Amino acid sequence: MTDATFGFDSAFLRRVERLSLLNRQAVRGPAAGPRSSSRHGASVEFADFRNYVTGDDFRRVDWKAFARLDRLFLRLYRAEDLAQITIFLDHSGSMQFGEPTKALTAGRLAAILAYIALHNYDTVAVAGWGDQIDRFLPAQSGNASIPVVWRTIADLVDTPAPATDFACLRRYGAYRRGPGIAIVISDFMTDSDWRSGLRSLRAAGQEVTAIQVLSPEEIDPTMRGDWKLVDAESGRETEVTLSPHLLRSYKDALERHTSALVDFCRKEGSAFLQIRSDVDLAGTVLSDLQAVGVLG
Amino acid sequence: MLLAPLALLLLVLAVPIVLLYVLKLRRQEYRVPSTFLWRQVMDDIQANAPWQRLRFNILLLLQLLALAAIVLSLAQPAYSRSHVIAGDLIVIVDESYGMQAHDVKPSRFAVARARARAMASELAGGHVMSVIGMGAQPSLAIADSTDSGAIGGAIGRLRVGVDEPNFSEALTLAASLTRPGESTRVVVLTSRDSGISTLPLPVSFPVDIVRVGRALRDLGITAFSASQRASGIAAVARVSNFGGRPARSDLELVVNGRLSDVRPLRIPAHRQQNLFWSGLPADSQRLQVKITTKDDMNVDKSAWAAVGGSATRRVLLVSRGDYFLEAALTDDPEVRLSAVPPAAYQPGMEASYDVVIFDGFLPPAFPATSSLLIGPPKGRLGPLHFGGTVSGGAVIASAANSGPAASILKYVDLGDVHVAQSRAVGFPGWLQALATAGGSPVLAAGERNTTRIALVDFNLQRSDWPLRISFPVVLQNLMPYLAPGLTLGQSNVSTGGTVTFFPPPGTREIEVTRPDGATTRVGPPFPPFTTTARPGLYGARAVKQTLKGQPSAAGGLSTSFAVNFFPARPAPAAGPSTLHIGHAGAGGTLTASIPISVVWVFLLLALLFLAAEWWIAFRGMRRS
Repeated sequence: MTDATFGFDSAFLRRVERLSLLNRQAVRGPAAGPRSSSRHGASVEFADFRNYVTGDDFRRVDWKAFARLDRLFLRLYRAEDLAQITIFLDHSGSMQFGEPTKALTAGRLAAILAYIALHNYDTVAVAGWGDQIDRFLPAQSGNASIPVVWRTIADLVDTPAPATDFACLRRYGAYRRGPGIAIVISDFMTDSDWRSGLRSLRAAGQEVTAIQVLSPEEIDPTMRGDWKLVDAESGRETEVTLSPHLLRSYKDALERHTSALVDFCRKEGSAFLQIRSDVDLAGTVLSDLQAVGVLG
Repeated sequence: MLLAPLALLLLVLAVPIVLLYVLKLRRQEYRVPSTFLWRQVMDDIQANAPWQRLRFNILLLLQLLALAAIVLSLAQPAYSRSHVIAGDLIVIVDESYGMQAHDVKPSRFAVARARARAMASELAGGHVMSVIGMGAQPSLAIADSTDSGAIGGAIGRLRVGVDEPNFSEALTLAASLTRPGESTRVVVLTSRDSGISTLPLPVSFPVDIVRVGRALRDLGITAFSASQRASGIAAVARVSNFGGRPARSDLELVVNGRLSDVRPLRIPAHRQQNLFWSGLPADSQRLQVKITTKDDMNVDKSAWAAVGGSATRRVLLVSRGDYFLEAALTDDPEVRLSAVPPAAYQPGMEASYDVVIFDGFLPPAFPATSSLLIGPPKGRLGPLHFGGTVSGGAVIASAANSGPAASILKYVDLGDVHVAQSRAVGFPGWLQALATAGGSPVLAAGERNTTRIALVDFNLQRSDWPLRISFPVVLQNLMPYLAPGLTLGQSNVSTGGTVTFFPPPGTREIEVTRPDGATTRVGPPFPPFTTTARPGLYGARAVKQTLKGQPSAAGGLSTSFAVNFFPARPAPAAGPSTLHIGHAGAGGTLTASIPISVVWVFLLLALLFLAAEWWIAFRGMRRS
């Protein structure tokens, strides 16, 4: 049973309160908020003029312009919206490996990001997925929602899904439409078409950040000899004789897989970060997230 | 050979070795988050079957080779070497045409010589070896020798010919070489097609007949002849297929050195085909037929035929001019006439001619060349004395004409010939009167030493003979009489046969040109020519004796004859390659086979295979 506080102490939380999730484009949230919106609204940031029409608020008429031109113009200001952040947390069987498990590391990361977002008046939704989106916590806002969100994330860490299938992300539209920020946390170790899944989020108006969590054994296997490798999700068996030559081939394949993820995200305008499951979240990860433009 | 063949049963050990490669290694399971990447690098490993496909594996190959080498060494491999342990050896090597076949490489004869040399190297100490070459006339190459080098040299001097083997004489010669009190074995190395399978005479020693060769592919000419007919030259050839399969080829007919005809040949196995030609040009003197396709035999691919001979005679006419005489001589196609006036005649000129005609002129000396004297003036020529004129009359042929001179009046009727006057002549005994007129001889002929003389004892212009039909006929009959040319007893003979020459008078020698261009000179008394071992066309030319003693070609009086090889071909032997005839215990050479073990070779191979297998495996482990 995962601790719903994820072991974060108050000093760490105060430190991350100074951070905020960055959006790389204007958001259009469900309500007014602190983030620059693509709509016109009531902020102090001037946006444009337009002709006055009947029914407009007289308070926004530019009287100076009326004095000079004898025509009524309305001053438009950029709106500021809330950002809706959806955390897609992969809790499939393959995430239950590593020390600590990839699922726990992914959950702790999701909890931190949710905490930062809620503390900055954004709304946070959590989607737990494996072979389908099997758990969805609708958008929550305010610091009071933090325990709910963390409880949901902890439950997902403790209940592995049978398999990973990025095709389920296409069905995200059933839960929510409209722009937002999607943070996909997974190990991306699957035969399913992750490109199609990430692209469907982009198509749904989401600004996608992909975070790959790998265990140290996946990055640098230490096994030697003859083994029958059993896939934790599919049960598929693969017989290998782990020689240095084969391990080099495996690392080459992993590097090709990672490069494919990086290249895809770069082309799609998405952020990508690969972390180890045994990484120190309080240290390097937050700075890495800042480096790739996820946190600011 | 294997001394312990049961050890080969151990080869079944290869089965478990192969099974070790077919059966899959039992591996420990290990759960991993995903085999997604592993499958990419291990896509050639099959995980879900107890058996895996047997792939090429160098280690498996080396292990199997090592096992095979070990098992074979346990089976005690050895080779046997035969050793002659007692007895003299007489080897009869067939030199006949059949040994020329090259169905075994390089040829049957070469194989037979190699076997003979091998026997010489295995000759036991204290015993001797003799070698006999078996052609038509068997010859002793070496007798009673213990020196293998000398025996090898004698074997190397054996030559294969185109004649037939004379086994009977060869065996008789071998019997004469046996040493009293010593055991002797005769080995006959002969062609499979020689037909030798039994002994033609009883002998006291065992005989091994070793037949060299396999089934032949042989399309050969077995007969060819040509003859002169009224319609021209006719020729016939027969081609036989001695092989066991149908054969096809082309047969070319070459006449006087030029290709005249090509006929296709389609002959089933063991059958023959006859081909005929007729209406060939009358001047066809040298004919050859050739099979264009090559097979296992070369000697029977060509045959030759000679028809007639060249009879052109060079005639010198010494005359002041006689139209009838010159016209008659010019009409004779076998005469090449030259004419000089008596003032231009010089003694010795006749040496370049076959016949000299003195018309109204007597040479200063008796001619060395056959001569015709016509209307001689008064005077003396050697033994002939010509006096004054006598009255003539109707010409009457003598009733008792005989001998060679009788041919002069062949097909001649002198009844309508009249002579005004003739010259009185004193006849020597060698001169024979052929016709008389008014009681005096007017036509005579005879031979003195080797020179033939004919006499027309009247001036042609003082007679009506040039107007009669008998005049040119007698002149045409006189030419073969005076210059009979070189004739042969046979113009087509078999290889090794004899040719009899009938040289013209005055012939000093006969020059024979063989097919290879070499010449042989035959002098008096001109014995039969026997150097006919090589098939082909032979040329013969008579060489005359001149006044100065230098030989001179007798003009165009040459001829040719053909030598062919048409052996009686027996059916190829179908039995075993070696026949043992006689009792070995009756004094034959005894042989023993001594096995020589080669176990060490296979043990060494096994060691090498194992070392290679260890090295490859070790190198693979270092890589791991």
